[in-house]
Amino acid sequence: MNSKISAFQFYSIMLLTRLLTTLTYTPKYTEEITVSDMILQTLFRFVFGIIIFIPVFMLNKKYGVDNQKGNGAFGKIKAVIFTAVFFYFSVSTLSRLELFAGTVIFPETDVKFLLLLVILFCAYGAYLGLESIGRSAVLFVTPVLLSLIVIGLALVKRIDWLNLSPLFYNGVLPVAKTALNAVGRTVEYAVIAVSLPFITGNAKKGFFIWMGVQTFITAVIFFFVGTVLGEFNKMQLFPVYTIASMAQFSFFRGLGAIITGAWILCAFLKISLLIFLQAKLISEAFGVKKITVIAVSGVLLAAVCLFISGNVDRFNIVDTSFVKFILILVSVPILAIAELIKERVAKCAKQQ
Amino acid sequence: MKNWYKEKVDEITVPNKDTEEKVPVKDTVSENIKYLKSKLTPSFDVKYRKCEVDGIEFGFVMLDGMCDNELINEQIMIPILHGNYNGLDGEKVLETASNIISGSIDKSVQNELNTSIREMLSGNLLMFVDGSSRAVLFGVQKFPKRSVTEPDSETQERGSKEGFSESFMDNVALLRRRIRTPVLKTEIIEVGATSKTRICIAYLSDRVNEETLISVKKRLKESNLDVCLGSGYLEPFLGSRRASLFSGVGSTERPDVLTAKLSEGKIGIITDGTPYALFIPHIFTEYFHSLDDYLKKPYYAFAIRTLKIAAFFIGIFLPGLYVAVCTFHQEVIPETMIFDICLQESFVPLPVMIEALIMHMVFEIVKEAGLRMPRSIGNAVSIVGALVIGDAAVSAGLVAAPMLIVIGLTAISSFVIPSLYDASSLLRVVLIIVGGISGFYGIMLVFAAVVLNMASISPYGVPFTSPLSPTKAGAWRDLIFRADWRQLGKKRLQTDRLDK
Repeated sequence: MNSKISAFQFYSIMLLTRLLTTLTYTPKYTEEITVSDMILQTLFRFVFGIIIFIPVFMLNKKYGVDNQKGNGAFGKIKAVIFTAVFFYFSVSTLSRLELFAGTVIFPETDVKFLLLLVILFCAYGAYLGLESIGRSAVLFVTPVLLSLIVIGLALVKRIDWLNLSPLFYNGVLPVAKTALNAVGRTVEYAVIAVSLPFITGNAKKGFFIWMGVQTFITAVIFFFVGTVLGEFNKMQLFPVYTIASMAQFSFFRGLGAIITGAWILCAFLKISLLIFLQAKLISEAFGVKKITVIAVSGVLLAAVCLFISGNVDRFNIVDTSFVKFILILVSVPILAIAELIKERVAKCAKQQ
Repeated sequence: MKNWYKEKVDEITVPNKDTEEKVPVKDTVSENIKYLKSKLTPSFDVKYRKCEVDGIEFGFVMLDGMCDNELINEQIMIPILHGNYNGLDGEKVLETASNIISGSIDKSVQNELNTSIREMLSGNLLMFVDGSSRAVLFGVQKFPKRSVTEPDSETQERGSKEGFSESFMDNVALLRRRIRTPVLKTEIIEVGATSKTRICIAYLSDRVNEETLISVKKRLKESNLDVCLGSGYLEPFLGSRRASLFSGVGSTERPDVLTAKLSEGKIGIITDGTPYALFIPHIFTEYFHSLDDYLKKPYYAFAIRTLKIAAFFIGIFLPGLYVAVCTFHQEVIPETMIFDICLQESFVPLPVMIEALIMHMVFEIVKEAGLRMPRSIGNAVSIVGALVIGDAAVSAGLVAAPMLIVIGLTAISSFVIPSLYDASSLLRVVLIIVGGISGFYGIMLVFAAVVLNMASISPYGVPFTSPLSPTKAGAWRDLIFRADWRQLGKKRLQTDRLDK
């Protein structure tokens, strides 16, 4: 569990987990903007994402990645905050998965058993460690991207260019606001901030490539959603699944099942990684056994998810963009800035 | 719970330990033979002979049926009995007697009686001389053995027709014949407190990973076995300690395949009494490679490998996917097809998942029966199973015809890579169940967990999923596509460089 993984493996995980967020997005996040602006806001996300990550880069440049581990009280506080963030996002991801399974795949079945099964498998994934998750991600990237390409090609004939509206139709502010919300829903920033010590190779270069690739893929997905569904996309619960279900490739039709597969793969990796990081942080900060943290985290996840299961109001609370934004803002830039200040103070004290 | 189970195990088991003590060879023949008899009696096949030449007593002990009697008579007994030992003491007599034996016979001197007994039980002739506290062993083994034949499980179209057999030395010789260089090293160790099975560790010293070699030796020495009757006994000690369907240890019946593996820096393990050699480390993509791939044109190899991969996935996923599609995802099937399937499945009284499980079980029963029964009856069982039961079941409306096609196709596909049959068979059952309970959702979840499990295996630092992940672009020249020998032959693959 202490092994390091290459930047390629790590950003493959990040790409898939980010892809999951895009594939499972619901229109409530983009209701204030038009179809064209939906595509355009991905560029804003790119810029905001880099801005939010600047303090982490500064910290790494000045004090090296190992400094990120932290120790003493500050390290403990940091571990607790990040663990809370990861737990919250795990709950959110699982609840979304349950919503999808309960409404789309098995509308007449109770999916609680499946939810527990997913948690069990993800806990096992977390137990196998970061190396295994990284290697699996590299194996999953190609089929997931290929399946998206197949769906994209199958949808080409359904593209309606008239669905595109003029840019900034409702002004720049709603676009920026939507992009900022999207940044708040990106747990990957927190994951990268925590995982830098475990990455070998050029993590910084990898970050920019990852940002570029995921922005491009997100833009393409939004393009298809926008041009195929038009403003109707706002009436769908899961627009990406809707367009995939409309796709027809040769005699195969209803390719939504492929999206389901991609979705499950990405969700499995994401939750496994989040549980692993919780175990890693808590065990390093408090000296608890990793397997114990994984077990506790799994049980808590199951309890919370079962509590939320089938209740839309509770789901909405978990899925609030504002809460996520605050969490990401605290865990990524503010903690990095705090650590920069702490290190500076410590350095000054040492010099005196 | 764990302690309770351990106690229960301890109640009926004893730890394996080597109880042999060191007993020096005595300087009188009678005493030595007395000791041997005390250890070996009753054993009707152990023969003791005494004779006297020039007033000096000689003692011979051998295992009847394990030695070449003609060789003993002509090459050992006659020269020894005609030797001149006048005026020599026991030690000199022993030396003289062993020196007059033809150089083509292996000779070794022993000071310890239990080791001598063990060697004698391996088919050596044991000789004692009065007045000498040493014994001489002559390599005169000759026992019934299967000749070198074509391997059953790894038949090749254009490859060599030689396969490993149960004879340890023959197997090592088959390897030696293919690598005529001093860098081929063959170390021997014994495994099994009771069986004392000989294990040969073969490697090429100029390319083997030293750490892996040390680790392999350590694991073999620490393998706490009582008896070792086949290479499969050693696999758990050599492979990954993680619970998995895959182990990271490969096996082959072909000396040419083992030679190829050694040339990549791998370590070969030949076990006495078994025609299957092991090699370490083993990676997943090797399952899809065969010697024929390298003996034919690269594009043909590419086509065959692609087919094998497709067959592997069909063998694992097809029944599960069929169940999932019929139960939850009917929308993915073309309309004309779904009507036919629905119509046929509507006559079957069982749910699709149960139907698939029963058909799979029937197939496994037919397969096991065909495998274990005498070959002539085995074929008949297969015909009865496949034609009579299958056809009758469809006619009776117990099984839908599409299901029969699915199971049949799955069965044939799973035999394309026999070494993966066990894993794929087990996975198939799991996927049928999860496909019936949770559709694609469950199938993808199990698939993801299996891939993650595979990715976690790297018993010697070489990941099982390498070179796919971690990606080693250089190794892709021989992955699904195989480069031409003009490129492939220039530089050899070094397995230990596939790490991390």
